[in-house]
Amino acid sequence: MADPRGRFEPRIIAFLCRWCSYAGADLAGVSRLAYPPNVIPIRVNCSGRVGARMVVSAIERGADGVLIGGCHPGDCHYVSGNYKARRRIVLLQRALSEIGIDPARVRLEWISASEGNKFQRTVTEFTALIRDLGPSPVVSGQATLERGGEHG
Amino acid sequence: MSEITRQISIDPITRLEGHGRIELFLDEQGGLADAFFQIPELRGFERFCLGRRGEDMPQITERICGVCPEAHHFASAKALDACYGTPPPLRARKLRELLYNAYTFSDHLLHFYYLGGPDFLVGPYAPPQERNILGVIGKVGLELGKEVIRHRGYGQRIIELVGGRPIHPVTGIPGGQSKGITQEEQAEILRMAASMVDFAQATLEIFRKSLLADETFTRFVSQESLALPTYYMGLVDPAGSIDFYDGEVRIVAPDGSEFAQVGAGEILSLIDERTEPWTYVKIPYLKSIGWKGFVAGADSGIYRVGPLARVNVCRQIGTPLAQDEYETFLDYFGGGPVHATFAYHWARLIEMLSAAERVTALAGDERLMTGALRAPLGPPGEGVGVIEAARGTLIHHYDLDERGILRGVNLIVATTHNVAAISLSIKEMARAVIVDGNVDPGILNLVEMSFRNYDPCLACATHAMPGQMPLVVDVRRVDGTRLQRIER
Amino acid sequence: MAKAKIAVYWAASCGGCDCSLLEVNEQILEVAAGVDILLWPCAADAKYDDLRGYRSGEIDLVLFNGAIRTSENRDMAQLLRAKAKALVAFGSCAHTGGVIGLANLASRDELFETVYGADRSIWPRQVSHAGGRDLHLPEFLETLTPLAHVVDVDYVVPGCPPPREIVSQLFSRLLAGQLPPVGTVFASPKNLCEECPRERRQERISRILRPHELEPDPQKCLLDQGFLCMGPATRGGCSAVCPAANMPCTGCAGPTANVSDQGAAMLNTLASLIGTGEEGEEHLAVEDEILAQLDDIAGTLYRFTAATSLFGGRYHERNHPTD
Repeated sequence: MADPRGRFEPRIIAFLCRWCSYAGADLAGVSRLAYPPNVIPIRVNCSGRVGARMVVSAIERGADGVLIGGCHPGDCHYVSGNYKARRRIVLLQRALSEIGIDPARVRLEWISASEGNKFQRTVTEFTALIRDLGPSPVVSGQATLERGGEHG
Repeated sequence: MSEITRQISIDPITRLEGHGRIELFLDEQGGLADAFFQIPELRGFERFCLGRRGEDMPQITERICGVCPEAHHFASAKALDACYGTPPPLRARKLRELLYNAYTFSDHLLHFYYLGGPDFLVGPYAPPQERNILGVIGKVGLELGKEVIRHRGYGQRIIELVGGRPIHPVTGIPGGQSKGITQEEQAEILRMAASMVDFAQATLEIFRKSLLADETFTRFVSQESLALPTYYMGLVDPAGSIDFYDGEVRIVAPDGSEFAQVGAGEILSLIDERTEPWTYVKIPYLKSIGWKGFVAGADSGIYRVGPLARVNVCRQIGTPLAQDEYETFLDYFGGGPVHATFAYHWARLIEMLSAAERVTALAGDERLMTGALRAPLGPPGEGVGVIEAARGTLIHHYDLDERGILRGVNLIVATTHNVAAISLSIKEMARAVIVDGNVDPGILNLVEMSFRNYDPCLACATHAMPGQMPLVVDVRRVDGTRLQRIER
Repeated sequence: MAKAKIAVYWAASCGGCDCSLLEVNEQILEVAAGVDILLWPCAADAKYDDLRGYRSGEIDLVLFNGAIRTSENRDMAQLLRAKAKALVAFGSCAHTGGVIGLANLASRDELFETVYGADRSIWPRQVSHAGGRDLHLPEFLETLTPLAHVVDVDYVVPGCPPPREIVSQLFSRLLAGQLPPVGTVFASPKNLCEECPRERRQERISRILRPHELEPDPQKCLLDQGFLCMGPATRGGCSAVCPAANMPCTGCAGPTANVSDQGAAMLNTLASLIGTGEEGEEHLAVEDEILAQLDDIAGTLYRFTAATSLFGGRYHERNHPTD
């Protein structure tokens, strides 16, 4: 995604859990805290809903970075969803580095409903990091030509 | 040099494992100017095995070939045994040998009845639609046809019982086997084994009647230009008998004198290879003799492997019934080494019989049924596993890092050793049978018959990487004590 | 009733799928009596020129095994598609790229360098001169793909190779003239755990075991015992022969019916199971230690499906190279 000045603008997908981090994002909005517009938020019930498949899918479709927001340890509305999410992201980051993709492109952050500031800070820092990393080395659609269904 | 006026392609070559093409160039007299054996396939196992876990290699490398997966599976397991300094316990070794001889029987049976044999069992000039197993069954009759299928099934069933699956077995692990067999399974194997020996003898009888008594076959056996005086390579046990599963590598010169006898670790340093731009396969030759082009003889580094080579390097076969056949074979040729390429068919059936005898002996061995299946492993390192695939000597050489991950791999795969000889055989056959520009389908099939002697496995052949790795190898006896250390 | 016409072809293949057709033993005689085999390079003498002579759609069923690795594989896929009424992706390589899809973890140049050495002047070439004429080799494509990425596929028979019972069913249906609806996959839609006789309790995994590290309890689920078994993420239909041999499933039949990314599905499963048995901040360090025991994630979780996945690729970060 290019801006008129020709600079690379990262496209970041953010999976945010409704009980904590999505609420924190709303709070940032209501508080009029400014943060870069590069993030596309997707609300999920729990960070535990975000499996490897969703993150991989986002990267395949052209996301330069993927952010997952969940509740702090101990605060998960569904008790342990965030712990599962954490383990998934650890494995996924190692798998990405095996194939040459910088694991820093996938970030898991604990953001509570009252942490509008933390949301602002996280998005700002993450966008800057992705901008510095540059466009994803995955060309959108290259890895999985026709996917889905039985035939491939 | 005479001008080339025609180029004929045989595309694809058929009744073998893998992809290949033969390009024939004819001169203005309608005779052969040149011939090229091209292998248009490559998959790159040597590259994508790097970074994998060592213990995954038996199941990954066996996908080099689905006709001889057992060869890769156990060459790989043996290499891992060596990497971990842990030979398998006797029970596991006996299980592996049992499976391995059943595989040898099955693979040789496949070649005689399904791949190379139909040319003689049905006839080289028979219509193409009939030159296959169905044509063979049509010729020999349904009853015998069912026996063919039944006995191949026996070989496959033994592989399945010991290896877990009939194609791409899974039970080979570093230092042992993942499972054993039950008493019922042992009894089943014993029943099948007896029948396998009978069937192997019946097959030799068919060979005598349909090939050895038939001028169509004997003319190629006796034709001098088709006999290649090459070096030969194969595994022998300490007594000098053929051993498909284990042993030292023995190389004999065209006159039968010993060129070398070395352990698995040293063989890689005796071989060099060359590439040609018109084929994906690499072409090994004996380094100290050197590459002298596609010619045979004591001054050329070309050597052969597989059944004919094994019967040429051994002092005896190692099992009684096959030994009798071997002596008849040697009498026929007036002693060894036998250079007639079409003798591969005979040698293969002698081996098929020997493999069946070995299956019988192993299946009745009580040491199959008691004792440990696996041994605790030492620390990971470097190791070599060598085995005789049906088609020839197969070597897997791995270097594992401290986590047991593969950081270096060399493979020399049976048919690769034969590539130069196959090219030469094709050329000699084409030269002999192409006259006045006649290249009708029957003539072209004769050209193909020259490579079918070797029972080539071309998916295997394009995966070979003889040594560039620095090497320290400890060669160990079955009990784990070190026999020798080889450094290169 | 006229005999059905079939063709069997291998692309980048090991020959195991061709051999699997013989595993049906005597049934092959019924097949031979009931169909005309127009092409089968492994076992019969028809040549490419013979194939080109057939009409469009003349071949009732084409069993295509092997992945698309070279231009010849691709051209043959297109030719066979044109001549076929129904095209079957037979076996793991045709279905999902197979083990050889792991080649996509390196570039073609890296692969050639490993195989032939650093001196490019001696690498095999598409066109070369020898004996006074041109000789041709097919192009080794930059990326390996499954069959469905180059042509439309009507049926899939998963497995490396497909098991005997499945092949037998396919033959029976062919002989009876009763092929199932287009799009059918000849396997179970459910995962292997459904048919594996081992008892599964979905225990937490506190240590990941490699197959040679412990002789497994023959009754208990291998994953429960800590072995990396792909069963939960793999299609069934093979009778779980690998777990029966005390070896974990490696995933050769590909993902289950509703999943397109087998490795990611398995990653999720492992992440759920790995742990001490309790959840909480105090356990995170131990969890990380267990997670670190998983070497070679791409090669293990995507052993047979790398070619269909993000993880069948080699990527380079330009700004901050990680390699």
